[in-house]
Amino acid sequence: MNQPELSIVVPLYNEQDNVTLMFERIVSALEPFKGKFEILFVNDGSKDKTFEIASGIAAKNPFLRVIDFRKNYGQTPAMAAGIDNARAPVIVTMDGDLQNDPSDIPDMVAKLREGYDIVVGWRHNRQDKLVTRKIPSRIANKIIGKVTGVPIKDNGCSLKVYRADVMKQMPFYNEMHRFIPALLSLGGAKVAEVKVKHHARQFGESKYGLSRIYKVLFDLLMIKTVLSLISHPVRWFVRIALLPLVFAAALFFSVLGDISQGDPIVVNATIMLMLTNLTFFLVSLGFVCELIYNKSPLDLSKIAPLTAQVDAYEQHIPLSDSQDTPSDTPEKSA
Amino acid sequence: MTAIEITAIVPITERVEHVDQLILSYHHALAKLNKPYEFLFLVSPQWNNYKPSLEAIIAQGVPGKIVSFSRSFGEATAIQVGGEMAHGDIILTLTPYEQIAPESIPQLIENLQGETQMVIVNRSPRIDASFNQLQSRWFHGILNMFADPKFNDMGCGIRAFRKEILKEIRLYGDLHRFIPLLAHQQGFKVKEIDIPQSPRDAHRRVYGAKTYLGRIFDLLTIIFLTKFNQKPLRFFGAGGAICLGISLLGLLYIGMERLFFDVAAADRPLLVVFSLLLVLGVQLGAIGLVGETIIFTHAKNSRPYTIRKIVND
Repeated sequence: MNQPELSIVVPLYNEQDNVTLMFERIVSALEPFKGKFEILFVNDGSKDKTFEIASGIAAKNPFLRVIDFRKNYGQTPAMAAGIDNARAPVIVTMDGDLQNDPSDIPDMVAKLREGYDIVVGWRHNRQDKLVTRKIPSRIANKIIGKVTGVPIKDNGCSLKVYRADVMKQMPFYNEMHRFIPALLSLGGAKVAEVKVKHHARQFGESKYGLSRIYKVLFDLLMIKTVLSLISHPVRWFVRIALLPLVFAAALFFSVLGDISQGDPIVVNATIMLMLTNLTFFLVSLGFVCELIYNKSPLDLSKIAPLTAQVDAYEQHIPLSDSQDTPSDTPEKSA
Repeated sequence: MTAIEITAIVPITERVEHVDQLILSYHHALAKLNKPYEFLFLVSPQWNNYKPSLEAIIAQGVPGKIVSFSRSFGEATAIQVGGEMAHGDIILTLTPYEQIAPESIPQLIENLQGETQMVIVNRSPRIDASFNQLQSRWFHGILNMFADPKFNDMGCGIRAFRKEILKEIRLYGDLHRFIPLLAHQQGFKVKEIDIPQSPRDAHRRVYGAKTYLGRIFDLLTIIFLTKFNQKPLRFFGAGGAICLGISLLGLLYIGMERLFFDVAAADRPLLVVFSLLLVLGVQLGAIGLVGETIIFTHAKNSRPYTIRKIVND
């Protein structure tokens, strides 16, 4: 198969009842892209027949690849594996439980081609339990919006369309898939939200519960800190180190005063030295972080796709009107 | 000659007892499996005097190679290097001293089939000195408070596993003891089988303080690597938060006394203690952040998953 235009990544965990239906729906929804898309099913260590069924479908359909994990790693690693192995310049991720509707994909892809880096689904009519799913999710979205300054209404929706060159650079672990849009837009990416359909679960059980929220928030805070840290590690740590330094300086003058009056100075002087020590420690860590980032394979400027890459972007993705004139260049060359 | 299926790695690094007899018994035991095999003897320089007897064994028809190192190394390195040189798909690590009867080695290979990709030995019943057993029980007791799944005998150097495991885990230092845990973390299925301990393994062993201290740090390392692999801030942050909490409460108390009860603060040693805890808390938190930075910046290289196979790739 030549280079596909679209890669659909679907993580599957114990979805034996949904796999076949899922596959059929994707194929029928992507009729306009016929022959120009690939599907990646990622079997995330399912304990049921998911992998066997998926491989069975793959045997008849060469555009379906099935990635089989050694064990259950979770949704983010499953998506990461799909993204790492995708071959198309546009990547779509979605849930494997039929709650997302593949018929939304063509509209979202069209939106992306208007010049966005990522298009996020917004389940405006969400079919889930109110107390355990919808309310916590609404709170989490509010907080994520506040922390990142990017008010995305539905970070948790798995149905997203990305530019591959941006996503392939993005570090992707723990529970990070939920604030990818927020992170990307922090870096200057253009994010669009599109209303998508959402269905109640038909088969199987929901695998995610309330306990995720605190993990998501913790990860978010951490990622935000790390992101602001690694662009200027030394400066970041120096800013933190200023606080103990100010206290140490104040104590220094108070100790000087004590000496002139003959008062005991041991306690204040000790604390002053400790705070000075902390200042040096933090600044040194800044240099260590500088070194870590400098030696790492990560290039921040590639995570933040910024407008500078727009030209390259247009070359990567054929604009939607090019679909109507099915590629005649190969015929000429042949 | 048919392709080699089993590679037996014998790291000669720490303790060596009756090595020539033992290797011959291993040889006879493996011959019964009817699968082509080879031995790799990895000899650390301090045991170079065993080389002539190993050469003699090879001359007697034991299929094997001697690999010498110019610098002394640990068992973990030996297994990693041996794995790179191995021709067989099945790796068998054997000890140059007798832990279980060589005749029972084929049991490991027989159990290595289907889903099971690694077979390890639990020496049971144990017949060595109760002091040894006590050491072992404490070690595994602490380990199993944190580890999942729970194995009973990390100290047995006899294991059989598929070579692909070595591609997914990194072995260095003293991590060889924890190969089963590391393999399980990467999604491989590990099976522990009971095999009686050999009478030759039964004598009492007492190690120096350095060894015991080393084991404690090995334990901490493996707990850190398996539990907090992707989230160093949670490991350091917990300690940091405790320190910060105590110190802030203490400083608040001293501050109140100073403000409202007119107790002088400047000559109180307690103030130094709480300040020290504050500094420690900040330091731990900052180190945690450095850890997160390492994970974040290297995430693209250390993929957070392992793939068994890709259909249609």
